[in-house]
Amino acid sequence: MSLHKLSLIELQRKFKAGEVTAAEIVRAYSLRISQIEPKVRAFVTHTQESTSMQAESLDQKLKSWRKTMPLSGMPLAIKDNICTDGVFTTCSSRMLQNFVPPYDATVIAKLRAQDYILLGKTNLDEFAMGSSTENSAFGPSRNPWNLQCVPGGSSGGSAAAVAAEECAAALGSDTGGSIRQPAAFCGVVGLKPTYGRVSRYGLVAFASSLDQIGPITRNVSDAAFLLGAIAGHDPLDSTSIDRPVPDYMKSLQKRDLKNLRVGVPVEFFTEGLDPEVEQAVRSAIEELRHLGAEVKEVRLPRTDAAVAVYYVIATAEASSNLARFDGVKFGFRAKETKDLLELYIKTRQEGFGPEVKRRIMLGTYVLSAGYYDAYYGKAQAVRTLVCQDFEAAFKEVDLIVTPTTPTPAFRLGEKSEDPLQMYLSDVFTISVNLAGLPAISLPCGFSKAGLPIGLQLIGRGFEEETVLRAAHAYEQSAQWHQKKPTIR
Amino acid sequence: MWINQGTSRKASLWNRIQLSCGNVTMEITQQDVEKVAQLARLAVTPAEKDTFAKQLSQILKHVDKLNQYETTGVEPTSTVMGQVNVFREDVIRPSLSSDKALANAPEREADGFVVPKIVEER
Repeated sequence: MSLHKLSLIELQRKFKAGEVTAAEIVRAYSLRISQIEPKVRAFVTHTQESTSMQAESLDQKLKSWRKTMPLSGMPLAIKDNICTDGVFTTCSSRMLQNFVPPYDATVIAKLRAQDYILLGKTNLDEFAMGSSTENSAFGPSRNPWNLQCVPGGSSGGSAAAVAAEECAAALGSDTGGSIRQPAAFCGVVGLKPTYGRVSRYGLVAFASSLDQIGPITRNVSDAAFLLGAIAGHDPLDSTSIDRPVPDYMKSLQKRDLKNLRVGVPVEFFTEGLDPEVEQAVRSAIEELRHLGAEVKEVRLPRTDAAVAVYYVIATAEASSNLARFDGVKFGFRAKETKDLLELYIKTRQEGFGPEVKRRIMLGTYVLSAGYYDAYYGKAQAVRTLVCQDFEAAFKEVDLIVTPTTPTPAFRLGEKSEDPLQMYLSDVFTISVNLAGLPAISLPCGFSKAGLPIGLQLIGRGFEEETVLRAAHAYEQSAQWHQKKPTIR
Repeated sequence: MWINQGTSRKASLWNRIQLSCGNVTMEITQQDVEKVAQLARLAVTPAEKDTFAKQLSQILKHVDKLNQYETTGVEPTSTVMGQVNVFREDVIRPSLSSDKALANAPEREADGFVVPKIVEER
């Protein structure tokens, strides 16, 4: 059996048992990537050469001392906004095209300590700003289910690489849906942890009060496994929370959903929701009921405001975070500038793409004198209302179930000329980031055109176990994760 | 304004919201785009000025929705999971060598970053 067909946990068992070497794993994936990558273009940077050496030395080490760690030898792909010591981290931006971080993000340090294998860095919308990877300075990635469609974004490269079996699993980052939406579009599993569950140290900041790193995987068990490896408090990220990391794999053992109250927010099932998506999600809800869950309607009345709140807060934070790209200490610098001001302006003008500029401008505008209260202050207050909606709903239910996206994957170029339409496609995922909650997207069916449809399960803060348990029970009963794309 | 209680304070807040409504519905002009670009240290071409003015107006029109929500007395949210400020001892720890820290410099000289002259000659 080809190694690339195995899930993370299946591969891990084989490796641990000594049935396969790290070198064999790397060879299998190198071959797979060389066949698939010209079509899917999930990666920005390949690390094959260093990877082979890494694998060989790992095999040597294990020969003399056969003690593996959970992720030893596991071939992963990492979104290219997560810093990897000595390996390009470009954020798919001209600004960081030649940037080689001198340190590891905390999540990478954790994976490296377990001897994982880095297969490469995956494509994203520039600085994670977008929903399709079309904003990448290096060109878009493709959806493995239909190469004319977008893989979603911003973690589109990671989701496409997982769906196309170009890696065993991947990491992404999620600010307004950037893990869950591409996972839904590519028919894989994507988990955004609670804000503060995973360290953001070394994640190139977009909107600091919303960003969170999480796993993108082939099934729910793999997501639980990988989350356990990256979660935990980090003194280097003062917003990470100091509380114990549970054994997420254990939470999967319980297969029925008795005593679980599941809420269906009526606001998510309105016009604009594709009928095929609605049907698939309603069937999934029936399945949850069948598994023993008590299903009831809940209300999240301020859902309508989420996109507006998000595009004020996220752009305001981005305009501040991206001020560091000034051409002085690292990154791109424009040539032939006569003074410092011109150096800043030309560097930023030439280094950033249109969407990044648009968001910096919007963020600067909403923070500027005379508009701060009307926009930023107002958005922060409405954010409180959005949080209160979830608090009220979670008094009645333990889990909220929704579609991940209003439609399946759209075609390349379909929305790239209309930023507002692109923003509105994130309507179902954004409120979760505003409230900092954990949420997963997993496949719940396919459209007639053969595109995957995603189901979103949202939990209370730090209740990833409940989210994973319900997702796993549904997945095992529905078996959608067994379906793989034919890439052509 | 602050010492006024009850209805008069409410009224003044309401006026502020009304006022901000007025600002919000205002179209973003090319001059606005130019000014914001300057604040953000970006340059915009004449074509971009036109596109950005239209797109930002459209997005801000959507943001207008926020005014449908009454937020008088609502605490603004800046963090969600009970994060508080974290203090630590100010102790010396290992850090990047200057060579590593300078490795990504667009232009360097010895142990420093090279930038255009900042201080003007008299």
